[in-house]
Amino acid sequence: MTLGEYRMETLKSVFLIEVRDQLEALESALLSLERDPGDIAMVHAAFRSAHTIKGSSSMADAMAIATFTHDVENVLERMRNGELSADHELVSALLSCTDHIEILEGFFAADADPAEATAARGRQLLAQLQPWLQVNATQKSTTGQIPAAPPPSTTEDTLVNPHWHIRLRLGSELFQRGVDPLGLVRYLGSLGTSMRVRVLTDRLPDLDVADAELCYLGFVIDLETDVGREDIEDAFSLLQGECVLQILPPRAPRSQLLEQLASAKDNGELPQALVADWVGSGLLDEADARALLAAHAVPVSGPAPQVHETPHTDKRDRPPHNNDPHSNARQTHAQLRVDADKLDKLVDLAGELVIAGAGVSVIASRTGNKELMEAMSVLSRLVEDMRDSAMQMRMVPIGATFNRFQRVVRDLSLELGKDIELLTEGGETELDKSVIEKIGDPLMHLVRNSVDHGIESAHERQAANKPSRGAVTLSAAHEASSIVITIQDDGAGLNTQKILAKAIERNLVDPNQVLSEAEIHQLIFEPGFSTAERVTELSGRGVGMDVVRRNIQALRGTVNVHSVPNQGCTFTIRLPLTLAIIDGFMVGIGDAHFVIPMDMVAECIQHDGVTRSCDYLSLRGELLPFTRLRDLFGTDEPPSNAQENVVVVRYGQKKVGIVVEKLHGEMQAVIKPLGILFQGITGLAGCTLLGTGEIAVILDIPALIEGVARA
Amino acid sequence: MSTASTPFVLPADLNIYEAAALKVGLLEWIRHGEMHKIDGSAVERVDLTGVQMLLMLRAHAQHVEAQVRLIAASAALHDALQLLGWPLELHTAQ
Repeated sequence: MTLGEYRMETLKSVFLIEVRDQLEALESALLSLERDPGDIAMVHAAFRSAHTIKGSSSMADAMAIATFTHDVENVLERMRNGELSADHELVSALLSCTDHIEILEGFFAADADPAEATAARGRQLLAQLQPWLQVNATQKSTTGQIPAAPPPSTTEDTLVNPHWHIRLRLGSELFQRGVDPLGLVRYLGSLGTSMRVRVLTDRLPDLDVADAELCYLGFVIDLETDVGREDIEDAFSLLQGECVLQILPPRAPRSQLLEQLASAKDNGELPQALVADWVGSGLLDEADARALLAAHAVPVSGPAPQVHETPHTDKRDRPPHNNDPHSNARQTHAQLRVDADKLDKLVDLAGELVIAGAGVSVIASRTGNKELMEAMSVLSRLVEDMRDSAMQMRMVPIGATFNRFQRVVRDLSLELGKDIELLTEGGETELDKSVIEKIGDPLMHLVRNSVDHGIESAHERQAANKPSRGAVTLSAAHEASSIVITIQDDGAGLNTQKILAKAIERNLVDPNQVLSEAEIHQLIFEPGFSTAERVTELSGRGVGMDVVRRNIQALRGTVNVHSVPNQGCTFTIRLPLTLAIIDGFMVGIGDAHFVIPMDMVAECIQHDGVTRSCDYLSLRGELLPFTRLRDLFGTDEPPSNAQENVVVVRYGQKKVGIVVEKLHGEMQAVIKPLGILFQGITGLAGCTLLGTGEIAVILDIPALIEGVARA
Repeated sequence: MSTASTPFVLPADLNIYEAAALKVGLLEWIRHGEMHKIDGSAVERVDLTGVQMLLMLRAHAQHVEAQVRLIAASAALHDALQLLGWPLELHTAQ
């Protein structure tokens, strides 16, 4: 790969990450707008996202995306200017466009041109947008193509300036991205016959506290040129991200000044400073400036002196400290994007280090050298700390995953004609990246299930004296070393009788078996169980709750359901914080080593060795079922005469005893997957390497408990 | 380290590669004395990072009530400052 190709690849991956982020932001802004069409901040957010997508895609040469997003941006711009309101139809159309951009992004990521069907779909979507682009066609869109010299209209309405007036606030990270705006200014200059530049320095922090590699500047540029708006805008397409660009064409309608003033606050600009620029550029005289500020309802008495001065001289009177809270926040919350693979590699290495450290510790303790053992214990602690921070880096908040379901719930409830709101709690709860990636599908299924089967129709709800709008609540919280995710709906709850009848019909339970209500509810997770009377497109596609449970169990988690008639249903998912490393308790039979996850060990007791006809013992008056590890995984050799011990393990509400021969104590285990040979053997979760080089098998306690409880 | 009487000579790379080091140098230099001269004759490459550094120096000088003068500018520095409409007001010609 040549350096140029390498740069293009890097640019492409940065672009793809950026577009995905912006698409998410765009979608969530649109969904908020649908709920609250008056939320002007969301209109601005949506516009910014579309604008960024367009800008960065033209920079990355993803022209299919840039062209398509152009019209989306124009519609959003009209919303921003108050020409359109965010009604349901418009938001739906824009959401479809968002989906389409995502599809285009997929093609771009795969270095492919969009398929003809996709291109046709794009044209269809753009055609749908046309009505919103064409209403009031007489009014000029500020991003549409405008001739360099629009026909002069009444002097009352237009300005007299012969030049383009460009105001640009540069994004703080431009320099770090390798962009030099000087080149841009030079290029602009080459487009025109004359150019005047002023540098906006009002956001410069003091030299003491400034980050030399962040950009704090802006430009006001007056450019006389014959080229069109597109060419000028293209010049700025290199500046991705947070740049704020405002362009006034020559002889612009005066109304555009008011529009720019109206959006000044959102861009963090003082209206007075804008007006001062316009006076400085000859767009307005001072009387006009006062009138304009008055029209914008800004007191003219205070800022009047500033209008007389040029922007950078007026800032002399101010302390040069940067008081803009926005940019301060940007400085303190600096973030670094790291390739997930690199992070996994680091965690892997940290895990290996823990193993190697354990090995050295064993050798050190054999030597009996106290100093060495002391040093080793310090080293072990540091290595563990390092591993913990490496693990911490993999933790990501679950909120983004939750937000994805807003769209799902919206689309589904529309389809089903239900009115359903998705509430989320605890989105800041963090869990391991790999867990987040894998929990999406099961969550999706459960959310769909709640919307489809859980929440009743508005009619039924009213009959049951409930608010007609149903609610599905997604929440996450930490509990000990697990994370608990719940999906709760306020629907009708599970129909216990129907579930039982179905289970008997399918031979899942014996008709004479006495089951508690909770036990009956758990039956929905059994393979081949489905109570949906009609197979809807949404939930009844053969993927049942058993698949949900299996996926969650594959993450070493559990899922339970709790239902109250007429009040709704709650699914509770319990997951380990991380998949890579566990604190374990090592036990043994014969020479074989086994690891039990520490958080599941309740206690250890000595086994009395009495042979019983049944595998139960009394634990402080409580009946405790137990199993012998030797019976499960042992060899044929007879048990040694050594003392037996019972490790009491607990998962959820259940407790069982595991009879072992040796208790080796606590250890940390880096979980390695077992080979294909071991697939299908229940009770094994993985294996780990011991410091001595031996292998220990990690027990899958939930599966063992289930087996013992059933036996 | 430069003192008040000695002009501060800007590096050949008045750009992002030297910005962090330049900031440290300038802060140290401006602590001494009240009249400061900057010599930009050695500047070969300049980007907006470099110009921004000079702008921050000017603001800082005003803050600590010192004066800064640019006593010489190479062609590269001159071009950049001219392009931006002489934002510094440090030049003796102004």
